[in-house]
Parts: sequence; structure tokens; C-alpha cells
Amino acid sequence: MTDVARFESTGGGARRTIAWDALDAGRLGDAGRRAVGATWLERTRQEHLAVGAFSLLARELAAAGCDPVVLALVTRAACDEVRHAAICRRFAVALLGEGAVPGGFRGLPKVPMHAGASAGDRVLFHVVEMCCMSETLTGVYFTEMLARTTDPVAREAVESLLEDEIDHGRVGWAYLAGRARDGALGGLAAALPAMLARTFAPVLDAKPRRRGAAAPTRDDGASAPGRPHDADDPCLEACAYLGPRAGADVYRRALRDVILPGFEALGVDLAAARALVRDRGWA
Amino acid sequence: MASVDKMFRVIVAGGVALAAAAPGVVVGCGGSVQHTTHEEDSGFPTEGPPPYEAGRGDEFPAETASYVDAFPQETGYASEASVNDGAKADAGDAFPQEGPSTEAGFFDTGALDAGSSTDADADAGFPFETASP
Repeated sequence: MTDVARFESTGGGARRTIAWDALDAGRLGDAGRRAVGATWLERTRQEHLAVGAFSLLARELAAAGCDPVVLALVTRAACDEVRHAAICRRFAVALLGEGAVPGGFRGLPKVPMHAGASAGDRVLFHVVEMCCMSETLTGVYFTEMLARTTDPVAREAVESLLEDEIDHGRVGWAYLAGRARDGALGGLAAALPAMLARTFAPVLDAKPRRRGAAAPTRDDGASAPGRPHDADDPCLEACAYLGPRAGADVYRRALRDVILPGFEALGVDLAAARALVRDRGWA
Repeated sequence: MASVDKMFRVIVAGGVALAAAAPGVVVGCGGSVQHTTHEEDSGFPTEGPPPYEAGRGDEFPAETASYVDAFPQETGYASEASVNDGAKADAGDAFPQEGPSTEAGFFDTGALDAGSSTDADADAGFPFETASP
């Protein structure tokens, strides 16, 4: 099978060659490898789904018309996600073994189609939810992950994803800025709470793990001495992992300090969105 | 969590600056985009981009060869017929009709490949690339 993760860019950019064999996963221990590997396997699935999401956006934007810079970035993003899925899979294989990781995924995301919305509103809602929220959040998440990752191979992998994710977020704000400039924000303000709930609730509303439930540890059967059950573990973090606590903190900070201020700066009415955030205790 | 502090400038302001940049400034650079303003940009641009409609056509261009009416022909070869009879690019509600039914969940995740691929089994909503545990 051709290794897409090793594709060189045809657009003049350099793609990284990641020395997977040099990944120092031994220090994670068996349970740690499983815990970190599971996140990279799940990330593989999500990156695959993102291929379909960006393909949808590309079609909708091409139909509706948009600034060429937006269309260029969105169409390229679909290709980026193919490579991301391959990188994430390689990471998962390095930690879990080839036999525990599917060769690939198939399927498409079940995105909300906003029944009743105009085509113009629908494409705006899709770009906002995918890029201004999900991809911006991903950029923040990987930035924090990178700050805690010390393994050189893991850093290469995260950087390789991150450099694209930044653009995947930017393109959403670029499109939103154009719509704001044209006074074409439609029903965005009213639609924001549901989008925010879909994006943030799975993490920010998650119940803390109860004692005794499975949690990532370095060695089977024991968390690090004195460490709270779901506390962040620097050993796991060294190999590109954010625990539940750190992850939730990233979500909260990204919402409060990046995403909501972004909408506000572009003149989006945030009354309903802020009411949701306040009611859920997210910020 | 100092890394979050700079992200508004990097992603949000960087994206807004892209909207203000002239078309054609996008260049590949290892998966990132270089443009004229975002590196030093600390706020929002004050000048608007060219008119939104300027980059939008509502007909298939002359790229389409006359004997093919399905996909665009990017070779640039064109006949008079394709120029004169180009179909509308603005297909209106074509996407919802061509795609699976919205009510049916919009997408079919498909069946297992005979090989080693497996279903992505999408939850409702856009992907969560953070895969936060």
C-alpha cells in the first residue's frame, strides 16, 4: 500500500519525513501505549471524516461563490486530511501494533443540514462549525499538545498536523469576515448555540471519571503515586497526549479566549451563545 | 497555558487578514499559507477585499469541451458551442438532490471493505480531530 503520509507536496511545500522507528514508546508502559495509541486511532477516524467534511464545504462554497483564497484553502484542506489520517494511523500503529489498527476507514460525517436554512446560510453554518469552531479548536489543542510533547518523533507528527490545522481554522475566519463585510451573516447568531453545543459539550459536559474506571496509566493497574485519577501525566504528555483535564482546559480556553472573541470582533451577535456558555458553566 | 494566548492572533486575526489579501497570494509552504499581512498583523484589516462578486461566475467557463457535459475540461480547449451553451455553474439546490437524503441522515457510512478498511461510524456533527479522551 502506498504510504500517503510520506507524500511530498506537489504544491511547492515540504512534507515531513517522520522517523517512526525512532519513537520512544517504551517508557509509556503497556497501559500508557494503549491509552495514547487509542487517541491516535480515534484521531485517524476523525481525520478521515474530515476529508468528507471539507469536500462538502468545497462543493458548497464553489456553488455559492466565495473569495478564491477561501476556496483554495478549503479544497486543499480535504487533501491535507487524507495525509493527516495516514500520519495518525502510523502513530497508532507505532503504539498499538499493525494488527490492532485498521488499514483505513471509510464513511462520511453526518453533518447537520440545517433544514429550513437557505443555501447561503447553510454554507455559512457549515464553515463556521467546521472551521471557526472545530478546526480552530484543533489548532489550539495541538498547540498545547506540542508544548507538552518532548519526544522528537511525536513532535514531528504533531507539528506536521498543526501546520495545516492553523490554516483550516483561518479559512473559516476568512470566510466569516467576508460574509460580515457583505452584511450576510443571516441567521448565524441564532444558530450558534446548537453549533457550540455540538462542538464543546462532549468534552466540557463530560462527567469526571469515577474512581476505579479505566484511565490512562503508565503501568497496568496503577496510576502514578499520589496523582489524582484523571490527572495529567507528564509521561504520557511527552508522547503527544493530553489527558481529560488538560483537554477540557484547552476547550474552555479556546472557547473563551479565541472563538467567542473572534465572533465578537466580526460583529456576530453573541447574546444567545453567551447565554448557553453561562448556563452550561463553560467559561 | 501560555500557548492559548497567541492563538487568537494566529488563527482568527490571521484568517481575517487572509480575507483582506488580494486573490492570488496563496502559495504552498509545507502545508501552511504565506500571505502578506498575518505575520505582523495584530488586529483586523481596515481595507476590504475586492468585491465578492468579482470572483464569481454563474456559467461554466469555456474550459468545457463541447463533447463533454459532465465534468469541466481544465485543458482550456473550448469550442464555440461550449462557450455559447455553457451551463449555469450556480446549480441552486443541486447538492441536496444529488446527495443522499437529509432526512435519512445524509450520509451512508457504507459497509466494511473486503480488505482492511473499516467504517468510520460518524457521530452526528463535524469531526472532532482533537480526539480528546
